[in-house]
Amino acid sequence: MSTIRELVIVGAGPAGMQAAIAAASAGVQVILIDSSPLPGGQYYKQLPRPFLSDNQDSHHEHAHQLFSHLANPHIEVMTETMVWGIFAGANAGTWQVATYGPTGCFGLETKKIILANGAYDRSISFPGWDLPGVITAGAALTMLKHQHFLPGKRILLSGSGPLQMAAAAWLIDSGAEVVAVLESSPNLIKHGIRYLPALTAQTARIREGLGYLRSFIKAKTNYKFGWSITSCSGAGQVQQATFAKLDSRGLPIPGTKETKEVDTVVLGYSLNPNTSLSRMVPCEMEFQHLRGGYVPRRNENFETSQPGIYAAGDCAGVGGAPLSEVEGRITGSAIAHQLGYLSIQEYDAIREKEAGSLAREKRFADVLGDLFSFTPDLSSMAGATIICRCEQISLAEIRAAIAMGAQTVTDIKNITRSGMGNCQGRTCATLIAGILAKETQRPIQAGGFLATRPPIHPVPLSALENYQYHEDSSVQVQRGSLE
Amino acid sequence: MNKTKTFDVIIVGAGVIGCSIAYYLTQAGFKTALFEKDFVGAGASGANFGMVQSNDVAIQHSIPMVTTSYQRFDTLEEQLGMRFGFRRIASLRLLATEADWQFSAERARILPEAGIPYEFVPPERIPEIEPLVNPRGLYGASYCSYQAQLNPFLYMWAYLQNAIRSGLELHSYTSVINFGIQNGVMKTVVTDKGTFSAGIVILATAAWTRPLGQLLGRKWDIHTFRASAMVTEPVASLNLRTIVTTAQHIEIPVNSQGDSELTVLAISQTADGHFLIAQADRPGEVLCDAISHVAPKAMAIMAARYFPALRTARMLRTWTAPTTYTQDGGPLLGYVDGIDGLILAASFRSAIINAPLAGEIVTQLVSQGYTDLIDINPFSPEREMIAAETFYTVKCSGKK
Amino acid sequence: MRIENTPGHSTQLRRGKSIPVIINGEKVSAFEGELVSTVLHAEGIRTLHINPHSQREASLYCMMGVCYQCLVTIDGVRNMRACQTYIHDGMEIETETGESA
Repeated sequence: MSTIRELVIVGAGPAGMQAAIAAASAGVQVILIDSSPLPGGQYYKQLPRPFLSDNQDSHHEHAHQLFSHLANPHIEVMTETMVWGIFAGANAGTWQVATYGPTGCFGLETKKIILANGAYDRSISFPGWDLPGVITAGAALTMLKHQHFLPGKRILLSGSGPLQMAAAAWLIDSGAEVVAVLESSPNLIKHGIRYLPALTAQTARIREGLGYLRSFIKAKTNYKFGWSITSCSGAGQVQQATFAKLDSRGLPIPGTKETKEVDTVVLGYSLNPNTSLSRMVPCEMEFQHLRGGYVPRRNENFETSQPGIYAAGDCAGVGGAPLSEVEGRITGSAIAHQLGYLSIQEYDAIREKEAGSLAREKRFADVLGDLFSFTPDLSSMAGATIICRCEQISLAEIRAAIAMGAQTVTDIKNITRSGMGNCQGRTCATLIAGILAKETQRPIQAGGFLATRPPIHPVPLSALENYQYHEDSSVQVQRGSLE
Repeated sequence: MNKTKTFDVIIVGAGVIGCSIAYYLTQAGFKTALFEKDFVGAGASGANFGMVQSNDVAIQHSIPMVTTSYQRFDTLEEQLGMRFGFRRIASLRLLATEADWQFSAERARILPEAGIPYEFVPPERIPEIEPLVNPRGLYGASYCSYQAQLNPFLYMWAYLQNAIRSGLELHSYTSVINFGIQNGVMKTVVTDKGTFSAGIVILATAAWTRPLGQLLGRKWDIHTFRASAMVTEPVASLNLRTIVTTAQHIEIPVNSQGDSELTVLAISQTADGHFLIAQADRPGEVLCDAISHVAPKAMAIMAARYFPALRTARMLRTWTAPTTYTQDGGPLLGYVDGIDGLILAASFRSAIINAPLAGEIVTQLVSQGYTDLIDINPFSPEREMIAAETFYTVKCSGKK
Repeated sequence: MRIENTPGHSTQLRRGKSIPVIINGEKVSAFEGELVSTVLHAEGIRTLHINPHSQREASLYCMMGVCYQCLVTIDGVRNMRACQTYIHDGMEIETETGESA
């Protein structure tokens, strides 16, 4: 019979690491899985082993504390391993986590799962957004910080929120010429003042923001509020970027367009929660505008509608690293209590201790969500604009599907094949939901969300063929009458 | 203000059959609503890969339906004003046991007489027809050129697009939770979004017909099994000429010996170069659409066994859907005895090929009370089923 | 372009040791710890993949393994994500070239 694990955590970022540490310190045996060679996730992404740097973030010390706590005999870290599916387990009340790593496909039978696989950059679409040289803010930061690499020489940034601010400052400090930084959200000026109280006890963030500000002042950066990129062009790669001022509805104002020569465009329109796994299970989803759209519904212990499956951090609603860490600690402790390692009194004490930071970080996440969940309305763009990059489906094709009677993003996927490619709709699904909402004059949540199917990342047939779903028993696949 | 909305006809189930019926009814001028508990094509209709297949008919009584319906495809895309990827393509069934061989011999005798070409291929000729197949250990194959393939979602939406233009009300994500019957007459359909009334109600609900029948106190003789499928990335260097299926199965233990999943294989290649691999599991009364952890492995083993070149291809997605069958292989098609105004159009073995005719038949039943297109008496919903030999009846060594 | 040490800002950037990789048949020098996408960009190769549906150029976009636009052939294995694969000594990398390149 196969071994039944206690807890498998998917994703070793802020939430996953904190959850692992909290659960393991109570005595839970934890498997922490991440697709990178080293834990840390995107926020605490470690330099490749052969690299060194003195360019360190303020959170560097804290990160190293976390890494050292992972060296716990109760924590087994599986790196370079991706989770491609979650199935009903072979035993009552268990789940099976399907992994694919350097040695192939293995199934882990487990009582509890924490989804902690973070978030990724949200896209906006416009003519030329698929040209080489147009990258996300997350991509720019990873190139700069993780690879000591400058993505271009003349760069335009367009986006909304702190991620693009960080990317702009890092690009400037690393020697790039930043042509302009376009902050598209009008809400920063409209609502900004009323949110000042939310900055209470956010000294680290204030310090970080002031640091960026210094870079912008020093470089005399052209930081434009209420503007957005509207198109890119170039032969084989981006060479020109055109941008415009937006009106209060987010529509480009005619006559305000400017075009600049660039070699790189960076897009930072906030983040999408990575819900590939929660939608696959499937967990019940709910729409949370301030947290990036549909996210798994959770109870106060961060357990989803599927018993034993928890979700912590940005994958359950974009809220930033500090909130993810609090959620991770609470979730890890909740599971330790469920499995009998913590008494209810001990668990309650932990919850009480975390209550203040949980409330504070939630408040801050709501503010960021309100200020920066804004996307420009570029619906007047050419019908030939590609929306689904994998399958190369255009805006006109998506509109045609809506005209046929498609009511949801799923209908549009089935008619056009958008979202059926390699990325399973991770890039285009929110774009299509936006187009559908605009065309049908309904709120964006009325279009629903795409189901995901295993594998959430492509797996070679040869690896599936040898999938060992009983890790400790010598399963012989019986080939029936074939042999 | 809670006025019940009234239709001439309510169809339950937006699969290929339901969509076709919606099209023909709206063309005939009926005020029609279509209720679907999920999205269009959420069940087996969207999960299959569009085989317009004739060669697995239940010989004793569905040949007329299949041959009549297949002819409709000559002009269907034109009629619906939309391309849905219809292309004629032959199928090759690999025969790995003597029993498979004998079973096919019977069909090779009967089907050509009925106008469905069906021929044997000795093992040494398999590579001529399908160079990608590894013929090792095969008794031969059966070859049927009277087949085609289409994109099932576009096929459904081609019907729906026309039906919506002609006034169809499509209600996705709307579950039927009860029926209102007065004096033996179907009056209303109760859904989670409200109650609707209609003169005639049609269940085109495939695997979900049984639970709906229970609401009506009926035990229709419909059974289900799980069919799963997966799609690879496009592999431009490989070119599959036919749709290849296997007649026999492999067994893979789920948790222990005797607790095994049985699997048969079908494989085809789309115009874009993706390979579609499908399997049919052991029969069981499951309505679950979550794929099991065994199915992707089973499909990979089966595909690699006959198509070693596919081993390096990456799998993009897998999915599953409950599929129906009946003991005698025929659908449940016609008015239900004892409930006036209730029509069943369910459990079609090859729903894609039969959808055009099913739509026409049901529309005749609604408008004139009978059909003169084919004899549907063998498909009476309340008939006594006599078990026929079918491809889905697999011998199970373990518990059933 | 690789960021070099500059006084007042980055003074202790260090990469891994120099190792050779083969890009489209040509030997180039790269550094241990670099991703395939980094080396390709350092060599000025931005078009990594040609979308089979449209023949349009595709390139690095998300840099976190989500978008699958940076697919290249690595050591003979097709459709590997350049942004998720670290180089090794002698790695053979093949990219696709678009018409407008």
